[in-house]
Amino acid sequence: MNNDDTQDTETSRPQTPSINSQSYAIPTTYSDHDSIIGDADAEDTTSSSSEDDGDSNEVNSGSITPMDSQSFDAIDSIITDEFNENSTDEFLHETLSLSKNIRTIDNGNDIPPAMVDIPKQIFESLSHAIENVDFSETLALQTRISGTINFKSLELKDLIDKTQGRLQVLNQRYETGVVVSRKLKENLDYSKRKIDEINSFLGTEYPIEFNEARDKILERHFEDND
Amino acid sequence: MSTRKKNILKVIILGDSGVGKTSLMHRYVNDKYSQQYKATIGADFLTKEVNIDSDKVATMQVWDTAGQERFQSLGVAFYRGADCCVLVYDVTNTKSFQNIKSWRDEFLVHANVSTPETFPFVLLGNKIDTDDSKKVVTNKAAQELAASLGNIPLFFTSAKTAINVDTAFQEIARSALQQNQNDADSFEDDFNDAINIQLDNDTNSCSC
Repeated sequence: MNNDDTQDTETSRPQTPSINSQSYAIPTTYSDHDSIIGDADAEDTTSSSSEDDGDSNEVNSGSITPMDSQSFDAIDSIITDEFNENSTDEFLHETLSLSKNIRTIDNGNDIPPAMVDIPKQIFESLSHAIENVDFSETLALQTRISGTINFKSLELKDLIDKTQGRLQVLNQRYETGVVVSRKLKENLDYSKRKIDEINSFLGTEYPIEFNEARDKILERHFEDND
Repeated sequence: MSTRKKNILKVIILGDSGVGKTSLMHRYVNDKYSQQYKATIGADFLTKEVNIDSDKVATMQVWDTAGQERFQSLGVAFYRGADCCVLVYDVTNTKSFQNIKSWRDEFLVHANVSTPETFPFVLLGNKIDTDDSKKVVTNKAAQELAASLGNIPLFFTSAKTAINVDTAFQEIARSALQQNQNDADSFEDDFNDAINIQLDNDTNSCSC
């Protein structure tokens, strides 16, 4: 194949997919646009000028070169790393940006393009990410901790319910006690008032007997104390 | 996708509290039994290398779950990805037998299995070493239940005396492996269709 073929392949890419979903050709990538093939505008300029003057060397300098195996490994590692390190949205974003750096080589080239099975790559990355013993152990530990918390929460809830029940009973008893004590106070006040009235009446009407009786009571009281 | 799960068979043991789920697991994995009852908190798992039909080797991951509601947790996150579900009841406890359907339904609701009608369940009637006078669940009732649940395998076991435990788990491993392979096959089928990357009515697309 000469360089013109390469150029034709470059400029007239087929519009219909000729490969199935499991075989995508990702022949080259360039992290640094300037160092490998330059930016897209420069490439277009180079391609058009090469068409005009037919200088194959210029086409080569701006066209895509097939990747060696190390480059493919680099792509694999980029895809894997980006998938593992980023969330889904970030992954999509990175994939889009990555796709800008990837060019395909059609089968018209002499060197057969290397194939990357992207679904397999993604699937294996996912499999390794979620299917290991560590994950299961973590899940088991999490369930145990969660179970303990659940149990403690229920215990606390029971204790709170019991405490609230007891508090309610005590509140009722307190309210009853307040009413009873108020009645007791009224009764005591009434009794005191009556006694004072009786004492006053007896002290006035029967002063001698009243005082003798009172002394007798006081003496008896002292004797009892002794 | 033979490397998909590294042949890890995830088995979930479900059943009421105190039916002997943990004892069955320890009897099968460690060949040990403890008379002391200790409620399982959350969930735990043990793994064991199993030979299935003398030619297939797999790692069985047996998940023991909490039967007591207060120790259940995380919803049922660990149900996902199960290859087989073991339903255990106590032959001396009618309630545990009656709750088997509930456990099965709960598993199917939360495990998100692709084909609930063909998902493998195994029914175990545990504690058959007890006196006949204490047994309240008849074999006939158990067989009828197994038939009503889709002719699922039924074993009468005793974790205490190791009756039928290995036999039951051999069947469990076989069912789990079959389910695992079915899942892997259906997964591969999902990716066999070519993806059409051509946009419809894309007349103005750039060809460069």
